[in-house]
Amino acid sequence: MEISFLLNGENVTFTIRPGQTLLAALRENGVVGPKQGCETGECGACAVLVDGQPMNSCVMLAAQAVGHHIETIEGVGGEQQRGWRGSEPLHVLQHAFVETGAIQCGYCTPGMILAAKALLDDNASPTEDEVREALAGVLCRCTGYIKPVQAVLRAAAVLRGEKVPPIGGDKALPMLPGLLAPPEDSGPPAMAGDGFTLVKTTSLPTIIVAPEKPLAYVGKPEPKVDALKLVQGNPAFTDDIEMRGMLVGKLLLSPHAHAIIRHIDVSKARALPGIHAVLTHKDVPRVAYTTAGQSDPEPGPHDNFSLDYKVRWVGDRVAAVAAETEEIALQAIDLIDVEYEVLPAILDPRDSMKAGMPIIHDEEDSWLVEDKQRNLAAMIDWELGSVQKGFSEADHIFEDTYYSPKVQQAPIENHVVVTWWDEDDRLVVRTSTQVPFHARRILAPVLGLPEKRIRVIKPRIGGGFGVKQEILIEDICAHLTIVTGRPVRMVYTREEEFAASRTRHNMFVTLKTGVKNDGTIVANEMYLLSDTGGSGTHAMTVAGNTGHKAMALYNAPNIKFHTDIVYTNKVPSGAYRGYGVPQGFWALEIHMERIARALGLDPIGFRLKNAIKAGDEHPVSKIWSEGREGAAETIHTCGLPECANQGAAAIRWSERYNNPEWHQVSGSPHLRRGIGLAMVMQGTAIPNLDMGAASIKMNDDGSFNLLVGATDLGTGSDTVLTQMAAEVLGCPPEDFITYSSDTDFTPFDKGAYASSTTYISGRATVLAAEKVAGQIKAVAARMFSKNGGPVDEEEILLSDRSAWASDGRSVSLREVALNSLHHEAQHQIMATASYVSPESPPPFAAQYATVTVDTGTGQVTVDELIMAVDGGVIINPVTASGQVEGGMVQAAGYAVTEELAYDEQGRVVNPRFGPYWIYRADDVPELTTIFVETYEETGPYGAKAVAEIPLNGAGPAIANAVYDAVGVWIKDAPLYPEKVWRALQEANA
Amino acid sequence: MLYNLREYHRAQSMSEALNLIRRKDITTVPLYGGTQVVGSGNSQIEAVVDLADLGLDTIKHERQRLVIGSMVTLQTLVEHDSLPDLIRETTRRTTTWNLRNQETLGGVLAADLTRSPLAVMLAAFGALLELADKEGQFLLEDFSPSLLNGDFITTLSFPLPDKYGSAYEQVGRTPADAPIVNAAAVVNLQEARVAVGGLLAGRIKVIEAPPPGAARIDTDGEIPIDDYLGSKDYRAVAAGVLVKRVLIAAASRVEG
Ligand code: FES
Ligand code: FES
Repeated sequence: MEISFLLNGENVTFTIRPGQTLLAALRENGVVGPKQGCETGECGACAVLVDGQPMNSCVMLAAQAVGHHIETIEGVGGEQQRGWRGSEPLHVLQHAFVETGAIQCGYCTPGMILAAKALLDDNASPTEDEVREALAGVLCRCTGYIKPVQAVLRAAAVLRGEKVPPIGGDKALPMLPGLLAPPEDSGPPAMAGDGFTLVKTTSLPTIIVAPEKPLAYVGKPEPKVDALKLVQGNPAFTDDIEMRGMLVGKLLLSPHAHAIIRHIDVSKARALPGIHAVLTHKDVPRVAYTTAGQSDPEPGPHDNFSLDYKVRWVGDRVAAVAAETEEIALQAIDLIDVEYEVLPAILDPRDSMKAGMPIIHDEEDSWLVEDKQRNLAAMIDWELGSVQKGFSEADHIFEDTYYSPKVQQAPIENHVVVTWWDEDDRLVVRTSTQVPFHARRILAPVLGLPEKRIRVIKPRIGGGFGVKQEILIEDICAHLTIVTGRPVRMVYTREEEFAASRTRHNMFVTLKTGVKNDGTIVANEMYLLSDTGGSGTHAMTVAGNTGHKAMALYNAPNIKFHTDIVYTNKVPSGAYRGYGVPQGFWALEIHMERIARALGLDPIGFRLKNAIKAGDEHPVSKIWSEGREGAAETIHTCGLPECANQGAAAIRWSERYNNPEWHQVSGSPHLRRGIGLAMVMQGTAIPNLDMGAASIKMNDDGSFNLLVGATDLGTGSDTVLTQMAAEVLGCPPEDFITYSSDTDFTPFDKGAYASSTTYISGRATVLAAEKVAGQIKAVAARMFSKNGGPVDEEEILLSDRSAWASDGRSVSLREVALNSLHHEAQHQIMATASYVSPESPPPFAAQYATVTVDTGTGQVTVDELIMAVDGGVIINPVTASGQVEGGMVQAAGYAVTEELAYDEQGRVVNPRFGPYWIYRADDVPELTTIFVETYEETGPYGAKAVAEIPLNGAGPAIANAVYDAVGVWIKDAPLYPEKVWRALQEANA
Repeated sequence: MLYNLREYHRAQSMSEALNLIRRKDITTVPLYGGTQVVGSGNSQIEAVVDLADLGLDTIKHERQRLVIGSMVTLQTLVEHDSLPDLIRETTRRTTTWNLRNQETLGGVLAADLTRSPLAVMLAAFGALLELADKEGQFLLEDFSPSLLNGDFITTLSFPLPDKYGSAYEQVGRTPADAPIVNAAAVVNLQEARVAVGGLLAGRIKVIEAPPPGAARIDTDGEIPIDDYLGSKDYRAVAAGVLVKRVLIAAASRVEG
C-alpha cells in the first residue's frame, strides 16, 4: 500500500507493507536517523517527532503516520561542509551535545535530541528535573545521562540568549600545580557557569594533579572526532546501508534448554515465495570454534558450531533463513517443523559437576574443554605462599559466599551484521564488532575461506561493553550470503539480545580471610564457581581475571585462588566490561567491610593498610596471565590513598558515617540513610600479548590520515588517539581523518577490550606520530637549509600546524607536504608503529555510595555515587569522565535492578528493557567523578585506563551502604526489595 | 513486528469498527494507539482497526463524574488541569513521555493493568468502564481484557467526591521502575476505597472498607502474582505496608 505524509517539512509517498512499522518504513527509505534498539517501545532509539511530540516509531505502524508531520534528526540541523554550498547551522542542541561530550556511541543521540527539542520548543526554561523527565524515554547505556542533561540545559540557556561558559574553561578544570591539593570542599551543588541553570551534578571531573608539562591537545576536553556525524544522525552504523538485492536473515531459536534435534523439516519454509535460503546443521560445515574474540591462540574451549544437531540453551540456534523481507523471514521460521528429543537440563551451576548430571558437551569434536564428563569448561588453580600457614597465624578467620547474577551488557544497538560478496569475490563482513581482526581470523575456518578473502569492516558501534567481543552472528549471516550469493542483513531483536547472545558470568565467590588483631591480612583464599552457560566462550579468562585483579588489591603474603567454570543450559556467559573483576570485588569488598566492622576497624584505614602500593610487585602477575605463565610486574603508580581521601571528602564521609542523625530521614520514620565504600583496581591491557598498531599518512594540505585497527565502540578512543597524534605533530585534532577500522586498510589491533586502547593503541599511535614527525622535520630542515642557514632537524619543533626552526623561521605543514609529495626528493610521509606492553599498570579507585532504604518494603534507592579514580594522566577529561559516569550507572544497575530471570524450563522471563530495567535519566543516582592523576611512565603521556574500573565498585559500595542504613548484609545481588525485606525480617526475628 | 498483518483500517464509526473486529475469518484487533499491539509482535494478528477517528478522545465533566474517552492519550491526561493531581501524577508514572504521547487510556486498560500506577489510582476512585457493544458498565476491578473479545473500550468515568483525600504509593527497584506492588486510596468523610496492584494476576484488588492495621493483604483464593520481582508472600506483606501508608496519607489530606 502507498502512504503519503509530511516528513521533515516535505510531502513524501512511501510504499509500505501493512505490518511495517514507521521505523522500518523510514529506514527502508533512507531515513536512518531513527535507530532500532528494541521492538517494544522501551528504549526510545527510534524516537521521531509526530506533530512536534516525541513518539517511538517502532511501535507505530507506518500507516498511522498519514495526516501527521514526522520529524527526524535529519530535519533538525542543516547539512555540514557541503563544498561550495557551505554548511547550514546545526541546531543549538546539536552543538551542545557535541560540546558537552553528551555523545558517546551516539546511538541514542538522535532520540535524545528530538525529545529535547520538543521540550525546549514548549518550555524555554526547563528545570533539571524536567529535562530528566523529557529524556527518560530514551535509554542510554553509555553516558549515565549527566552530559546529555547538561547539554539540554546549556542549549536552553543559549536559546534564551544567555552567555554560557566554555566547556573546559579554567573554572571547570582546575589544574593545580605541584603537590596534591587538599580535598575539594564538597559543599552545595556546582554551578555549571555564570548565568547558567543550576545542575546538581558536575559534568566535568575534578583533576587533582596537573600533567608534568603544558600540552596543547592532550588533557583537553576536545570534542569527539566522530561527534558531528553522530549528532546529525548520518549513516554511520552497521545497519545504515542499503544494498541492491539485500536479503533479511533470521534465526529459528531453540525453545528447549537441552535437546537433540531428531528431525527437522524445512520444505514448507523453502517453498514460501520470497525465501532464498533455509539452513540447518545439515547444510553447513561442522567446524568447532570459539566465539570469543581473543588473540591467537584462542584459549578456548572450542565448543561452538554455526548450526548443530543439539541445542544447549533456550535461544540456541536451530535454523537460519534468508528472505526478501523481514515478514517473509519470520513467516518461514514459523513453517519449520522440528522434532526435539528433550533432555534433562542443568540450570544451577552448583549442580553441573555432580555425578549423574547430563553432559552438555558430549560431542567428540569440541576441544580445549577441561572435563566434558563433569561439565567443566575450564579450571584454574594457583597459590602464592601458603594460605594454610597464613590461617594458622591469623587471629580471626572470616569465611562466606557471595553471589553475583547473570546480567546483560545491553548496548542500545543490538548485534547487527551485513555480509556480501564484493567485485573480487571476497566476502565483506560489515559488523558491529569490538574485534574486527579476531573476527576475520576466527571466521575463516568456519566459512572455508582464507583470511585474505575476508574483509571485516567495523563502522560506528552503538555500544558494546564486551558483548561485541563475540563473533556472534557474523558466521551465520555469512553462510546465508555464501548460499544465496546475495547481500544479507541480520539484526538481533532485543529479545534475542537478552536471551540468545552473551551475558556476564554469574558467579558464586567464597572468600576465606585470615586477619591479625591489628587488621593485617595474612591469608586470603577465593573459591570461584563460574557459570559459563551453554558455551565456554571466555570461560577461563574471565574467571582468571577475577582472581588476577580482585586477589591482588590486598597484598597478603599468602593468597590462593581456585575456580571451576562449569557449563549449564543457559545462555552463554561471555565478556562484559570489567571481565570478571566486578564479580570478584562484589564479594571482596563486602567481605572487607564485614571484617572491618567485626573488628571495629575504620573501613578506610583497614583497606589502605592492606592495599597494594606503588613499588610493590603485583602479586599475581608472575603466576598467571591469561592462562599462560606470567611475568613479575611492579606497580609504578598507585593513587589509591588519594582517591580514598578525595572521595571521602566529596561524600562528606566523616560528617555522615557514624552520625545517627544523618541516617534518619525527617518526616519519614520508615526510611534510613546509609553510606558505604569500596576500593578497587583493574588492569590496563593484557601484557605480552595484546598488540595495537597505527598508521599515519600525510596529505597535500598538511592533514593526516590516522588509521587504527583499534575499535572505538563509543568510548572516545578514536578521539584520544587523535589527540595524542595531534600533540606529537603539532596540529589540532581536526586536521586528522581518523579511521577505525577495516581489516583491508587499517593495521592490526587486537580490538577494544581489557582497558587497552588508550594505553596500547595510544602508545602505537604516539610511536607512529613520532616517526612521521621525524620525516616532517627532515623535509623541513632541507627546506630551511635551502632558503637560509642550515638547520639541524633535531632542533625543529612542530607546533601550530608548522615546523619551527630554533631561529624563528617556520614552514607550514602544508608546505612540507607539498614539498615532499610534489617538489623535491619526492616521497610519501607516512609511518606505521606497533606496541605490545610488557606490563599492565593497574588503575585504582575508591567508590563511595549513599542510599536510602525503606524498612517497610525493602526498597533501596541509590542517592549518590562518587568515584575517585587514578587512571594515570587523563587524555580527555570529558570522554574519560563520561566513561566513569556511564560505568558507575551500569554498576549500580548490576547491584540494584538487573538480573536475567529464568523460569524452570530455562527460559528468560524478562527479555525486555522494561522488566529488566536499566537506569533512566529520571531515576539515575547523582554522580560525581574525581580524577586523581598519577603519571604512569609506561603509558602514553602518563595514561593508564579508565574504561572498566567504574564497573567494579558501585555494587559493593551500595551493599555496604545498605548495611550502614539498616544493619543487614545482602550478599546476593541484585538488591531487590524482597531480599532486603527478608533480611530485615530475619534480623528482627 | 506484526509480520502476519494484512489489513489496516481506520474506522469511521463504532459499528464499522465492531464489524471489522468481529470478523471470524481474519483475526482483527483494535488499535487504541498501537504501542501495545504493535510492540507485541503477535503473529496471530492479521488486521487492525485504528480507533483514532471515532471521537473517543474527549474529557468531559458529567454530573459529578469525569468521563474520559478511551482514545485520550496519557500525555493529555497529564496536562489536563481539571483532573485530580494524583490521576495526573500516576499517569506520568505509568510510562515515559514518548509513550505517553502515543499510548491511550484504552491501551493501558486493555493491556495488563495490574501494575499500572494509573489503573490502580483509577480503581481507587471507583472508575467504571464502558464498552462499545456490551451493555452496562464495568468496575475497573471487575474488568479483565478477556471481556474485550469482539468489543472495545469507549469510555472510562469516575466520580469526584466533594471532599476527599487521595494517596498513591509503590515499591519498585528504583523510583521510576514499574511497580512491583502499588496501592492507591481515596478517602472521604464516609468511606475509604483502596486499590492494590501487583498482587493478583490480571486484576486489581479493591478493598472498600480496609481493616485498620492489616499486616498483609490476602489474595482471598485468587491467583496471586509470584515472580522474580517478588514472591506472593512478599507482595501480600508489601501491599499491607503500602495500604497502611496510603490510608494514613489520604485521610490526612481530606479537605474539610
Ligand atoms: S523504543 Fe523503538 S527501538 Fe526501542
Ligand atoms: S551514547 Fe547513549 S547509548 Fe551510547
